[in-house]
Amino acid sequence: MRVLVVEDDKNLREQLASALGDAGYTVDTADNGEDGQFQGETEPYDIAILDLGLPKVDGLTVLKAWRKAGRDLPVLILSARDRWSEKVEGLDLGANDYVTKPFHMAELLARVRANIRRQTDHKSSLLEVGDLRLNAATGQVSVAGVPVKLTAYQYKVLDYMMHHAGRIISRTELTEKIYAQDHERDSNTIEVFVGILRRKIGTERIVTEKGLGYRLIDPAEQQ
Amino acid sequence: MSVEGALRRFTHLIRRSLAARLLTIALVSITGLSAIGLLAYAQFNRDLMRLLIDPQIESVAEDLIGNVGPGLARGDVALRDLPYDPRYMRGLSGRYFQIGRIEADGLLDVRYISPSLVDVAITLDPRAVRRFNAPGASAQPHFLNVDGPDGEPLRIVARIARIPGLEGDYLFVVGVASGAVLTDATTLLGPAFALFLLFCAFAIAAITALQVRVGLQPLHDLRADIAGVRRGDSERLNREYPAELQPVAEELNALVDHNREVVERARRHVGNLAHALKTPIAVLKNAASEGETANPVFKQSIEEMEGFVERQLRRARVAARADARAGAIIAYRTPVTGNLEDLVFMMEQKYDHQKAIDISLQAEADLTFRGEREDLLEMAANLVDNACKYGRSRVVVRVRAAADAPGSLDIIVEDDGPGLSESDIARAMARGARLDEAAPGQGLGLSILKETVDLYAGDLEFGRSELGGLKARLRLPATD
Repeated sequence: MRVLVVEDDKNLREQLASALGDAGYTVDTADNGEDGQFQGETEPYDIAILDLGLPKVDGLTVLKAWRKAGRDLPVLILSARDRWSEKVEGLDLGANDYVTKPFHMAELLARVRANIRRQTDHKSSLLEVGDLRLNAATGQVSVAGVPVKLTAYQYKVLDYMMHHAGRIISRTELTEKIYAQDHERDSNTIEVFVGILRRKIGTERIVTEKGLGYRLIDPAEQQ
Repeated sequence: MSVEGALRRFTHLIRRSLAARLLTIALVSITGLSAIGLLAYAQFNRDLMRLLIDPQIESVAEDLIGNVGPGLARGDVALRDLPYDPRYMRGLSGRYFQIGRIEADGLLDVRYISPSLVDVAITLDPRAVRRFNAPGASAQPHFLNVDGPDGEPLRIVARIARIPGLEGDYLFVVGVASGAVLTDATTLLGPAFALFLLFCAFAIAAITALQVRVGLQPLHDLRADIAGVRRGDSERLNREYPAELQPVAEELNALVDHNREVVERARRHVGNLAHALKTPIAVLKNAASEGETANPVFKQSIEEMEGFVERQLRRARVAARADARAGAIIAYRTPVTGNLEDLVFMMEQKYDHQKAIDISLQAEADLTFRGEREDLLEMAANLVDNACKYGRSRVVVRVRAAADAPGSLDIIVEDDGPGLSESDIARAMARGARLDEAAPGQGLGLSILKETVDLYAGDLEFGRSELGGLKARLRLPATD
């Protein structure tokens, strides 16, 4: 797993590099926007951690350039600017996540992990259930051609359900598949995720089988 | 007083209204010009008369003088030849002549009249006759307009000459009826002239009014567009204006841009400050929690520092915003639904790895906040973030037009958390709660939110939600 860290503060850059290195990633760094943009465009990274306030070229411009060049690697924005409008702008430009400084290293590592997993889970497949479409290569989900924005966990729930479309999936099964061992989850977590998914992709697509679990269906086929 | 008052009102109107100015200038100048034109026309008539008629009648008069002699009776005047023109023979034909001896005081003793005059001589004012007879004037022909038989206007020539064989001075008068041929200037200056002027005035007033209306339309457009920018209906003045107004529109656009820039610069400044302060704190924080250097004293101090920096930055941000707003000349316009959709997704991401929380957004389409996107997002984010923090599994965000306050919109955020007690709510909303007392993480951090709400003359209310937790209602101005 290769990670690109673009951060102009020397100390923070080194801390990130060592923490990521300890976690088993191969880390490249850049201390300004220009180099960062070049590296991101030429090397196949699995994720980039991008500071916004960079010398030479600022982070949002770098991100825009990557997306324009067709680079679809997950990008985690790291910024001291905690204005909501900036975060929203970053996501609009194609960032996958946003971490505000100062942060806990453990949290950052967890997010890096979640974003990479989402991107690499099913690198080759395009899943389709009716007009519900999930492109694992780009991480994009659409319903009848209209894109749907999902968070990393929402995506994972849907991804699992689409792989097992038509079959009844129990809550325990979902919980086990979605969360790592170290996560303590209360029982209604899955219910909440399914509720969110229903609202985003259409209520009729996920059927509740009382006492058993959930089933993803193609509503057009059922009629 | 009434005349003076009317005059004052009029000058006031002229000073106030471009249309009144243009109208007044047009009316005064064009009425004056037409009066001058009419006078010139009258003068032209007189000149034409002099040119066409005067030489004719003068030559007839000279013929008469050359032809005249004493008559058979004593004191009589006789002509050897009558003028060739038969009209002098026909009664009231419009061609007349007469010969009279000038008596004392300018009275005339008429001795010969053309048969066309039938039996009534042309009467001349004795004063005029005296004037003709004055030394130095008597040798010249005198032209004038008089009333002839039946009161018809006549153009006459009067010449003074002696008649061989007779005593005294004789006045030879030859006249032509001019009424049918030419209109005399005096009749033009009568009621018809006044009527004509009045008609001109009305016609020109109407034309000018139209001209002013059409001509000033771009000005009205500009006014409406500026009002639109101020209300927040549009960002800039985008229309094509006439060359005279284009510079004004461009200046206004520059002013609007400058205003936005000032606001943005103030923001950026705080953002840069945040960046400069928080990056080293992040470094310290990470260093303090790493294995061998881990030290609870460091960690605690760093967290205190972090909290302090956070509060000061928030404070600076509110101050910058308030400053910018104080100098703001324009209103912003921010669509609510799209921005809240983005915000909700942001929050889902933020809490994605922490807890499962279902944030649903129910928004009436087409609602627009009369204010900046930045502020809308900060205010809404504050409420939604709190709801996510305290809610167990559900947060509902609703946006709708305020039913009991036209021109406002409500953003309602509810959660299924523990909620706040009445006294907590009262304390949270207490006036004078200072920004520094509301540290992030403790309580709701409401002061910054309240200050922003106050900037927009909005309103923030808390109550109990049907979901079981806190219900916050944020009321903000909307555009139509």
